[in-house]
Amino acid sequence: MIILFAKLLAFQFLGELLIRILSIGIPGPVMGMLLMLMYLFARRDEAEKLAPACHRLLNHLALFFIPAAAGLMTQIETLTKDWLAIAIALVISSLASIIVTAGVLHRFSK
Amino acid sequence: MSTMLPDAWTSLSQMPLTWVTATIVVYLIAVQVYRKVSYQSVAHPVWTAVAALIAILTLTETSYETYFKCVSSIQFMLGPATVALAIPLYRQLDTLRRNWFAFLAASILGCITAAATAMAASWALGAADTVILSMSVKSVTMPIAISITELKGGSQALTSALVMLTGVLGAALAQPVLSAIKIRNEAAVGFALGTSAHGIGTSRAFRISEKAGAFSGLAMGVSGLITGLVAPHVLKLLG
Repeated sequence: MIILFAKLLAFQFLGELLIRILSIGIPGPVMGMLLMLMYLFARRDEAEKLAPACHRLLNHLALFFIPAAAGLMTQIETLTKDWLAIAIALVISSLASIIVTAGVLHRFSK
Repeated sequence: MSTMLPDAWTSLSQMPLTWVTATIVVYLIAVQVYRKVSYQSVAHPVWTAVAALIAILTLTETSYETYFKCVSSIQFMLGPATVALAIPLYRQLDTLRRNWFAFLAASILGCITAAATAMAASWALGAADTVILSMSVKSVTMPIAISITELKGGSQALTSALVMLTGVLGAALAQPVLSAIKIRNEAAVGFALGTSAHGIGTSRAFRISEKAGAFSGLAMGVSGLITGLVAPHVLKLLG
C-alpha cells in the first residue's frame, strides 16, 4: 500500500511540475494520471503488481469527495431560490448525456 | 447555545482529529446503509454522508470553513486517487485500442450534451446567471470544474454543490436508464457514468465491476480535458 501511495504522489508531483513548466490549463492530477499511464507502458509487469492495493484505494473513492460535497450547506439559499429550474435542468442534462454517451459508444463499437 | 457547550468541545471542534474521524465514521456507516438497501442509488454514500455531516455541523454550530480546514487531509487524497485511475485503465487498454474512435466521439458528444442541455434548461426556466455558469461545468470532475469557474469569476461553492448533485443523480440514473434502452455492455455503462457523473459516477461504476470502473475513470479524465479546453472559450462567446 505504501509503495503504491509513494508512486501516486510522485507522479502527481511530476504532473504539477510539468503543467507549470508548460503552463497548460489542465489539473496536475490529470497530468499525473497520464504520466502514470506512460510509466505502466514502460514497466509492463507493474500494473498487475499495483492492482490489488489500487483496487482497495479506489473502492473508497467516494470518501474523498465528502469534504467538497459538504459545501452544499453554504449554498442552500441559492439552491432553494432556483430549486425547480435546477432540478429540471439536472435531470434533463443527466438523462441526455447518459443516453448520448452510451448510445454513441454502443453504435460505433466493433 | 455555544456558551452552554462544555469547554472541552470548544477546542475539540477546531481539531482535524475530530472532523476527520467524524467524516470517516459517517462514511463507513453510509456505506453499510448503502449495502443494506442493496446498493439503491438514492442511498449513495456521498449523499447520505453529506446529509448526516451537514446535520452534525449545524447541531454543533460548526461553520463549513472550520470543517473544511480540518478535513483537508481527506480532500488531499483526491489527487493521488485520480493518478491511481491510470492502473485500471491500463488493464483495459485492449478494449480501448480497438474502439478508440467510438470512445472519442462518445466523450465529445456526451460533454456537449451535458453542458448544453443543462445551460439551456436552466436559462429557459429563469435561473440566475451564476447558476447557468456553474451548470456548464457540473458534469466534470471537481478540481477541473472549480478551476474553470474560478477563471470565469463564478461561484466555486455553487459549482461544487451542482457537481455533487449531478454526480449523485447520474450515479442513480445511469444503470436503470441504460437497461431500459437495452444497453448493458459494462464498458458503455461505465463510460456514460464517468462522462455524466464524474468521480461519483466512477465510484458507482467500480461497484458494478472493475471494467466499468476503468472506463468510467477514463471517461472522467477525457471529459475533464475536453470541457477544460472548450468551456472557457464557449463561455466567452456567450458573454
